[in-house]
Amino acid sequence: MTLSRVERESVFEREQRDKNVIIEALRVLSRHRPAFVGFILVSIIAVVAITAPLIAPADPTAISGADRLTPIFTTTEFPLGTDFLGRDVLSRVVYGARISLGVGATVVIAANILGISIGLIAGFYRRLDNVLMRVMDSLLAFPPVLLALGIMAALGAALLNTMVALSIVYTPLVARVTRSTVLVIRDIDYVMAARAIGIGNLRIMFRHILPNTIGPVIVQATFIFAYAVILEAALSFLGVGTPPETPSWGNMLDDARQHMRRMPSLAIVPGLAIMVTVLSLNLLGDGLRDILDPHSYTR
Amino acid sequence: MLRYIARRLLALIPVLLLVTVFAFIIVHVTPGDPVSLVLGEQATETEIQAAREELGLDDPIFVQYFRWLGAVVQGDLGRSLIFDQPVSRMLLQRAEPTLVLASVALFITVALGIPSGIIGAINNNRWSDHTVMIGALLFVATPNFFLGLLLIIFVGISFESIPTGGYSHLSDGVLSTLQSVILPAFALGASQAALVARMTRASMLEVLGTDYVRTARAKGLRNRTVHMRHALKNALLPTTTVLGVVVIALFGGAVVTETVFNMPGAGRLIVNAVRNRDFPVVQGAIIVVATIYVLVNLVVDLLYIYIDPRIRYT
Repeated sequence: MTLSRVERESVFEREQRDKNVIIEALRVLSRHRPAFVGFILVSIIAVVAITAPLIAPADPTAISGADRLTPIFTTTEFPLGTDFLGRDVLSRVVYGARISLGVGATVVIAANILGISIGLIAGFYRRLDNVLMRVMDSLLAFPPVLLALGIMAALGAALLNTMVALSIVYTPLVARVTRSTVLVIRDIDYVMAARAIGIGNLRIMFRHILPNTIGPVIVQATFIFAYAVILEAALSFLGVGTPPETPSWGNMLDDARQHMRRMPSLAIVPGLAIMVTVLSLNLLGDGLRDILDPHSYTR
Repeated sequence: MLRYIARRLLALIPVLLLVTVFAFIIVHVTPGDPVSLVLGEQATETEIQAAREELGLDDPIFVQYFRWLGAVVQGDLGRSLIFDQPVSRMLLQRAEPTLVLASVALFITVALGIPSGIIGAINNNRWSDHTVMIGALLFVATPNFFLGLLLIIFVGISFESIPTGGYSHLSDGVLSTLQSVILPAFALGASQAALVARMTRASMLEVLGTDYVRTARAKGLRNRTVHMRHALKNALLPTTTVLGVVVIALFGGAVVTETVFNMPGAGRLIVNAVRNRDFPVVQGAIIVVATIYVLVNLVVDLLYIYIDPRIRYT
């Protein structure tokens, strides 16, 4: 009698906790200071990206011959100065957050959908494992920059193509992490039990195995986000990513090269933007790894 | 051991074959006709048809792939569409700056990364540890092209004797070569050094917490002996495995760094080929780099077995 009451209470508590899962996650996160700092910074950058049209003081692509190369911190009209075409640097950095985070988020989502599916199938069906993982291995046999460059050569420089290229580059990472987790979970008793009572493969995969792979996958996703931000900037910097008129941080760095000895701020502002974004994503990723994986090295 | 190596080499074949398939696909999914790319827009219908036949573009795609693969296996990577030179020769000519750059960067990575990691671990939670960790965090987050630009701006202005662009060949004197690659190599190696430092620190900390290290301390050995003779060797095992990854990250990063510093290396050749859509060069470079990468990984695995006798090659 008492036992069942305790049970009922714990079920009730669990339901309550599930409802507050976001608050719970934030609470755990706030106890890990670096992760929390990373989370706050990423959130701020995300808000800047989303509200760019409201925040940016000017049109990031508006050219003004009279205002070329205005130095930083000299006028209130252009707080961060202007570039060689007289475009407002502050507005370009603010809009650049959209490109960087937009590409990063899209790549993370696409690479995870593809990678998790491939990892699940490879881990679950032994016959397909070899074929799928050899394909993933051969994609991993390229340095990311080079693979991305190759794909961009084939598709041509454009924002969408950058996203496609980076998603292909990072899918194998997700697939490998997912597969290795699936291989461990697949043979645990509860999966056997599920199979024994006749639950179908698909349901086992999605209901019983997938939720348990989520920890390592989330950690990996944070780092992939950071890599994608860097690689997108690198491709734009090399002139094969987003088209030159797009206000992206990589393009701004590329534009700065001609004038940076006279005006270092042209390179420093977008460079710092990339650094802060990557730094906060890394802090968040390291923290999530500590929180989700008790065996992790970095502490 | 020999049998193990042979089996590992055999296992490389499917991966490398898939690499060539990717390299081949990259060109063939491209929108637009490669022939019109070469001949320009004014080419007549008959000229285009003749060129297509000469290049074998009308054959089935499998025939084209195997013919191309046959040439690749024999070291013939095709001819550049823009420069009309053999791709293999172009890559070889530009290999020196890339190899020198990557080697110096690897040296910087190891020489900075491992000692900082050890210092951090030995002084765990003291100011020197915090300095190392914060420095590592910042360098990991700094893309090599941004660090390169910063070096050009600040070092270039303060020290005029250090070149901020170009490359001086080894045949013109080793010293001037080293001078010409020092900034790019630092830009390239810094973030890898930071990764190595974090890795070394983490594994050193773990080893310092083990029983045998406590035993060593208990029998009265000096700290120095415990750290250097007992802990370091085991702590460096995980670091060795990431060195393979580091080497390849350096090769990848060289592509960008060479462009920042205007070095006439293979990396810049590749970037320009991508910009000009000079596909044979892109293809050739991809195959060469992937092959190097796969071999480096194999060597690292073998080294690992050599260093750590607990691992049996099965």
